[in-house]
Amino acid sequence: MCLAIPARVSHIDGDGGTVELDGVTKDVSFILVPKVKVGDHVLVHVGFALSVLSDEELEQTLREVERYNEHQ
Amino acid sequence: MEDRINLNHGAGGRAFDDLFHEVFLPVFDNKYLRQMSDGSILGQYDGKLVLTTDSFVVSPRIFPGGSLGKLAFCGTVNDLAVMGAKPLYLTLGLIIEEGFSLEELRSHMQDIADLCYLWDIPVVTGDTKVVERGHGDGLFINTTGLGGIAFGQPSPNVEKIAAGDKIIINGCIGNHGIAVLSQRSDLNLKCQIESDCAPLHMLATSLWKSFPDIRCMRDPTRGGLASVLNEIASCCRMEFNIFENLIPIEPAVASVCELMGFEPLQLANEGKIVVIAPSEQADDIVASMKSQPYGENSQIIGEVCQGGKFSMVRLTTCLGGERIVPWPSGEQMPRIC
Amino acid sequence: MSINRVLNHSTAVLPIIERLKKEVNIDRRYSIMEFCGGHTHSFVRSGLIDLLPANISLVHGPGCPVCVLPSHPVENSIDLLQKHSDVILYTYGDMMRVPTDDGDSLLHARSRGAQVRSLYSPLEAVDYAALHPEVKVVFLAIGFETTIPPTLVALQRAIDLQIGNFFVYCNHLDTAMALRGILERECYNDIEIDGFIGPGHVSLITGAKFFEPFALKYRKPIVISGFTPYDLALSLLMLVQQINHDEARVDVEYKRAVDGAGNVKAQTLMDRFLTRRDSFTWRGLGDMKHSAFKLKDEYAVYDAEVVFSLVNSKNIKSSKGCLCSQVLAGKSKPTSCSLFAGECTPENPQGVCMVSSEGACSAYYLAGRHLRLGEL
Repeated sequence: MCLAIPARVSHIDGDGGTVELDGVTKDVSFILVPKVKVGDHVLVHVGFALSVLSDEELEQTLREVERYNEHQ
Repeated sequence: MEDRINLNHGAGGRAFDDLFHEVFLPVFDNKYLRQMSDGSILGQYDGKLVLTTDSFVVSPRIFPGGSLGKLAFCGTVNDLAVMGAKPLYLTLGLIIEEGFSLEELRSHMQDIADLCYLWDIPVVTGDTKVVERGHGDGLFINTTGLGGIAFGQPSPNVEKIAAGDKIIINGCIGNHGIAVLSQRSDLNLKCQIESDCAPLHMLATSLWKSFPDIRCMRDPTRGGLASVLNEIASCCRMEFNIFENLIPIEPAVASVCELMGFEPLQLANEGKIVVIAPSEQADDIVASMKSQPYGENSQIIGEVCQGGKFSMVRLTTCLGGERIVPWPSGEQMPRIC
Repeated sequence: MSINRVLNHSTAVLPIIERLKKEVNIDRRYSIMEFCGGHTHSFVRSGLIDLLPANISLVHGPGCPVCVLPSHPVENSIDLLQKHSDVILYTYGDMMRVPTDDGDSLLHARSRGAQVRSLYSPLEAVDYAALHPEVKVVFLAIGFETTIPPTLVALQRAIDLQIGNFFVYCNHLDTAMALRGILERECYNDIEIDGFIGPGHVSLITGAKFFEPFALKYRKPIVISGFTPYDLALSLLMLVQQINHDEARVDVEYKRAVDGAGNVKAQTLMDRFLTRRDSFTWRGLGDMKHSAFKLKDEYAVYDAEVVFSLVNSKNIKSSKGCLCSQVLAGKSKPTSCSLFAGECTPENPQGVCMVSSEGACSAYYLAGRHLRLGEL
C-alpha cells in the first residue's frame, strides 16, 4: 500500500530538494516535512518526503540488530 | 545538404542519392554498398546459416553508455552470437520522421559503422523511408543479421537441458534498463549508471568453441532475466531455481528499483548472456568468462531442477524462503504499492 | 549503507525468527492479520512467509487500495476519456491494468486512443496542466492515507497558481474504517484474528495513537510495523508476546519512522480539503459509511466528479468465476478460486487481487501456494 523508501537529504531549496541513496539522487518535495535538514533521512513516497526518520531510533535499531545477533 | 531530413530523402530519387553518398556511404563504405544494387550477392558459406532480425526503438535515443545506433548493432549481433553463429553480415533499415536532425542521424550511423569496422561485420544492404512529421517517433532502426555456424560446430539445443545444469550470467543485471529510465525527465532522478550495451559475439563464440556441451545461451533484453528464464524453462518444460544472493546487481540499480518500485529481474540488459551448461563444466565456464571482456563479473546464479506439473522459475530469497518469478506482464511502471 | 539493506539481510532477520520460535506457545495457534498489502508483498517477496513457526498463520488483510476499489472509478475514467477528447487522465502505474467489471482497463483504453498517462508524483499532472491550458487534466487519485497528502499538495498548487484546468477524481479511502470493518463485520466472524500487524506508512500520517481506540474496544493487539523482513519478524514477536500475556495495546515496532502524533501538516491538509462520503462500496467489505473521502464543496471547481458529472455505483460485479470480493473479505483463500493460477495469473489477471502486487492472489501466486501439496 505504501512503497516508501528511506533516503538521505542531500540538498534543500525552498519546498523541494534532493535525496540520495547509493549514488542515486532524486528530486523530492519536502513540503510535508517543513523541519527537515540536510543530512536527515526521510521516507520518500510518490515524490514526497512523508516523515523524517529519527537518527536516535535508527541507531537504536542497528544496535538491536547487533544485540539479537550476539545472542545467537 | 540541409540539416534536417525531409520527405524527398525517402522518395528514392536524387535527394536519397545525395543522402546515401553524404551520410551512409562515407561511414559504411564497403564493396557491397558501392555497387548500389537492389541486393547484395554474398559469398558461399560452409556451414549452416542463421538469420535474425530486430527493430530498435528507444527513448531517449542517446543515453548513458550507448545510443540507438549502438543498440541496433549489438542487439542483432548478440542474437546471432547466442545461437552459436559467427556474425557475417548486417542489413540496415531506417524509418525516419520528417524533420529529423541530420547531425543526429550521422551520429547513430557512425556508432553502427564504428562497430562494423571494429568487428569486420559489414552492412551489406539497407533501406530508408521517411514518414511525415508526427507519424514516427524520430528514428526507428531495423537490423537483420546473417551468421554462420561452420559444419561440426555446436549450436543451442534446449532439449538437452537436464536437471542439475547450471544457470550462469556474465555480470550485473538491470544497467541498461535503469540507464534509459533514468533519462525520463518525469522521474526526476540522477544516477551514474551506464547501459551495458556491448557486442558479445567474441565471448559467446569462445564459449561455444571451448564448451560445445553448453545447452543454450540467451540475451535477456526486454523483459530481463525473468522473461528469458521463463522462456527457456517453458521450452524445455523444466523448473529453474535461481538464488537471490547470487544475482549480481549494482547497489545504485537496486536503489532506483526500490525508490521507483521496479522489479530488477524484469529490467532490460543489452550486454548480458545467460548460459545454461552441464554442472560439471560450470566452474570452468565461469573462469573462462571472467578472463574475457564483458565477462568479468560472471556468476552461477542457479540451477535446473526436475520438471513438474508446471514449468517455472523459482527464486530462493536471501532469507532462504522461496517465491516464483512470473513472466513479465508488460511495461514496467512506477508503483505506489 | 542503507538501513533497509541491513534489515533485509538474513543476519538481521534469522535471529529474530529464532526468538519467535522460542516465544510461541506450541499448544496454540496464532492468527495474525497483516492489514497492509505492502506487508503481504514484503512477506512473500522476502520469503519470510516460509520461515514462520508452523502455528502462526497470516490472514491477508484488505489493505490494498487498488484491490478494494469498485469498478466505477476506472469505468468512469474510460467513459470520460471517450466523451471528452480534450481530457488527459493521469494516474499511478498500479491502476493501468486494473480490469473493470466488463474486462476493460485504462491500458486497453489507451491502445484505443484514450489519453491516459501513468505518473510517479501527482505534481507531474498539475505541472502539465499549467503548461497546457488547452487541455483538461484529470488526476485519478487513489490510495489510503499515505498517498492522500501528495494529492492535496498538488491541489494546493493548482489553487495557488490558479490552474483552472486541473481536476482531482478523488477515490481515496480511510484505513480506520477498513480496520473497523474487519473487526465488526460478519465476514470475519469465522476467522478468529488474534492480533494485527498495523500499517507502517499510513501511521506516518495518522500517528500510532490513531489505532489505540481499536485495540481498546476490540481487545486486539496492534503492532505498527516497518516493511523490511526484520521489521515484520520483530512485529510478529511483539504481537506473540502480547497475545501470550493477554494484552491488547498499540505498540510501535517502526519507531524510527512512526510517532504517536503523525504528520500534522498532512493532517491539516486533509482537514482543509476533504470530507467523508456518506457511503462507499468496498470490494470485499461492502458498503461502509464515512469510509471514503471526497473534496469539500468549496473545491467543486477542482472536483472531477462535479465538473464531469461522474456517478459512483454501488454495484460490484466480478468476472465470471472471480472470487476477489470473497478473498478481500477473508471468506475465501485465493487457492479456492477456480481461475487462480489457471486463467488468472499475474501475466493475465482476471481480477484486481491478481493485478495489484499487493493483492492476496498475486501474493499467493508469487509464493507458489498453488504448487504446494494440500493447498489446491
